[in-house]
Amino acid sequence: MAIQKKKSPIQAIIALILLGAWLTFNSLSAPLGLPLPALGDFFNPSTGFWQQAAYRNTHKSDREISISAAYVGQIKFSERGVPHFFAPDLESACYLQGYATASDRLFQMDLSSRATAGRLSEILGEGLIDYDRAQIRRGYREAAKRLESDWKENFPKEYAFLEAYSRGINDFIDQLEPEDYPIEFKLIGHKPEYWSPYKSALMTKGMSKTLSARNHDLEASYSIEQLGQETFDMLFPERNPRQSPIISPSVKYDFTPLDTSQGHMPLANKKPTVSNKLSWWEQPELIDQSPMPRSPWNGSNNWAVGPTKSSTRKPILANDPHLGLTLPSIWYEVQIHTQAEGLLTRGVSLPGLPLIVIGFNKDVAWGVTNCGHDVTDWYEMDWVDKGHTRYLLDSQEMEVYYLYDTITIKDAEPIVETTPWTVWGPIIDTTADGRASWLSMHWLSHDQPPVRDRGDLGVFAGLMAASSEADMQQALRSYFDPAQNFVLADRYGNIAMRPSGGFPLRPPGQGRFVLDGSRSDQGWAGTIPPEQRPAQRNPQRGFVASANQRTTAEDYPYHYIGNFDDYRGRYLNRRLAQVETFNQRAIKDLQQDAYSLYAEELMPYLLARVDRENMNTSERSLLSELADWNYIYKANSKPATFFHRWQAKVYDLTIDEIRRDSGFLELETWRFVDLLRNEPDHKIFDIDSTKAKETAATLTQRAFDEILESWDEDGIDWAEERNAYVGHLARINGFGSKLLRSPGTGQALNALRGSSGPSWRMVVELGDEPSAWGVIPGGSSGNPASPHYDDALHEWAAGRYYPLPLRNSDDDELRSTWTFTR
Amino acid sequence: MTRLQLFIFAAIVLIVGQLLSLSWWIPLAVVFVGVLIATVRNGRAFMQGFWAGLLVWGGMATYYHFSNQGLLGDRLAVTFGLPDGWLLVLVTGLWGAIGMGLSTWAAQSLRASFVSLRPN
Repeated sequence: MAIQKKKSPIQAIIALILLGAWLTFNSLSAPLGLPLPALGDFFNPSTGFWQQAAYRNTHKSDREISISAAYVGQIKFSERGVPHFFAPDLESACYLQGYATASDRLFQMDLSSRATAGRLSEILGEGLIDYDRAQIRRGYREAAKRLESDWKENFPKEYAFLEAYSRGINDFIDQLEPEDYPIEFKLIGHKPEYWSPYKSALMTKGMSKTLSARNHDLEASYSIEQLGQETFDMLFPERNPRQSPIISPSVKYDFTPLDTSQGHMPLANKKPTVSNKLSWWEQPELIDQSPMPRSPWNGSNNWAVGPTKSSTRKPILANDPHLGLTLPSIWYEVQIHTQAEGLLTRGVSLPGLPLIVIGFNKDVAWGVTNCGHDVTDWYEMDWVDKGHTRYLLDSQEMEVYYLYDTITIKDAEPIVETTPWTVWGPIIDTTADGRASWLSMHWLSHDQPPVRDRGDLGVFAGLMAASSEADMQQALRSYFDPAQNFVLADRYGNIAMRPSGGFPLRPPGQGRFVLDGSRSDQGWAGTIPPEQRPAQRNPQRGFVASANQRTTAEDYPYHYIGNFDDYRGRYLNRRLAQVETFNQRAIKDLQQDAYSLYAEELMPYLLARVDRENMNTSERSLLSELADWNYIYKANSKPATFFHRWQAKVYDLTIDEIRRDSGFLELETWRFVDLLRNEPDHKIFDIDSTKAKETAATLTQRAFDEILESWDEDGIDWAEERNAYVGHLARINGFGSKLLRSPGTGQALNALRGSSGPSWRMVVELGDEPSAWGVIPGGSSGNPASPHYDDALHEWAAGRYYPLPLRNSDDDELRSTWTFTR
Repeated sequence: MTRLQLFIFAAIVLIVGQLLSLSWWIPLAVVFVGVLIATVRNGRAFMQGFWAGLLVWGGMATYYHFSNQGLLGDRLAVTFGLPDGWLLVLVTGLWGAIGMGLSTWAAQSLRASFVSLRPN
């Protein structure tokens, strides 16, 4: 056999270069500038994304865990992967809850706490700097720090719950191998970070942002300046006379209200100066969006029927909070059983916070909707110097103080964000010509709550441990932020509605417009004391209900403003009054109800204003189809699609001169309907850019014709028009749902919109033994490879519920156990 | 080493890498060094590494995709713009194949430029 000569090195050089290139390419994050992780370990089946599909990551098998010296107990998972905690005491249960939540929702917790703190650019890069900066300037980090120290100093026992919860999360993280990091971490090329009570405080403030940050002070001030008092009052009345408030007008208030006169009428010494100088329908220049976020449209329903209205002669309670719909879901179902406190409570928790937010035990049930009161005010400061470092308050010079926050940025140098604060709160906009230029913002969520018996966790621990409606009332006295309408029921037949939270003590008229920040008496005189908060208990009518509408009738002694729903609440009260008795099935049907009261009230006036003379046959048949529509937003309804486009177009044509994106207040839909119905010749319907004089009829006809131009009789149905999905939390393509074909629309009880809707449906029938049902639009797991990632979503979309039994540790339905030993 | 032996060697190293959850480049380095040390017959060694990578990585991906009933693969396929989860299995296999193929080829040709090899 001949020995061959050595080879020329050229081939070796080429091969080595290719190998080197491959090694480099696969080790770099964001290869070729694409939004990809380092691909080598990502594709490697034993370290990369395929590990998410490994059985240990998609299913819960029995485990013995001995990490913590402090806590023992068991987590038992049901067939749906719902954890049930069996612990000696509540603190241990919080540890178990932290551990289980981390095992299912680690990325969600990481992302949510980062989003609130303004720490997204740290993992996602420079594109998120503006978002982070806005979060920091609005003071969410500061709010969370204050809350954490309030918990720590005033409620040490509750703080121990948070420490145990954090410990559970961190113990889970410690035993996590990199190959088991949730897939989102692998995609981003980022690793889990330890949890802390501060992060739980961030989660709380994130909820406050979602639920209580909405305000329109700047828009209101701008609108009154541009339009003048008279037009403003006509377009934007504070109260809808048709409202059917949460606390029915039959409730009388016999307390002596506190003095709120420390405040004044807004703009008392700063009356609008340009009213009527500018013709109010002139197109104003486009200006920036409001510096406060316009919270996603959030609404919710809750109600309870009492013994006289219930087929079981015991209360039935229902709750469906409407929030942004994401995968994984915003809620995490749990059951907590403790020996020391004798707890056996089930419901949903928020990943990032221990305990149960909405739930029930064998004696009681409770649920929440958002109150929607405006708890944000804006102040114009009297600056002493051009540099905005000093301002006058009651004629005394005050100094601005500064908060310095670091924004860490992936692949870039960190930056320090400086936020000036006055006594009122942060200055969010320090540009010379911005909408909120050098205004100071006061937000309730930055304030130290008044002295109270319990902190935020203590309130929920109290609800979980309650054995009667009275116990829950007692716990809720300490509830502060964000304000919620709590519906309560117990097995003895009591039902109650208890709006709870910090409601500012405002003098009449205060808070709608930008205030004078140079006078301390322009602030609130504290908050309404708990015993004077509106409430209703065991009413004659046999039910209590809320759907984000106005809290009370006009005779409630305190002035308040806010964002209130105008249709669901009225419809809910109407249905509950109409039907004589409800069983749990009828209650569930009401949660799924897709009837639009808005359509009922508007449609006849649209139809009446269309010219029928010159119509062809197909147009006539369309019109009769619309006239026959029952106002139910079913998935396959085409009249719903037509109506929805029609009303939107008429509305847009109507408000063309006072658009929100031009800085005006939004014309409320109820007011729009009223004007269309009662004042069809009103000048708001005239389009200034045309010579003709338009009326409601002209606009209705024009909108009808325009829609008809592109209308196809076999065209898209309501589900396609609405285009609702449940997307992944971080918008990762492929991790979301398919098109949802459930009934519903924003103004119906089943308030399913583009990406928000009923985020948890719960029905509890109280009695000797409670029967309960519930479903989230997601599943227990945050792992897209798990069958429990979206199993519940399919049930939810079909309008079905899972039974929610209270389980003992020997329950047959509990499939697997994680045992924690010392 | 014969071609078959080289293929088996690369496959075994890859399997060990999978079992120990080693970072993806470690088996490539081990095989690279192994080939430099061992006498390998002349001829291109790319395909031996390629088939080993395709077999081991593709096999692992097939196992996970199949046992997971495609839940993950089908979602991620959408993320990466692929029509089906099985294509993601194929891409995974090719990824392992290319890496190991380059490793065996580079090591063998490097050795060949220093040492005289027996022809196949």
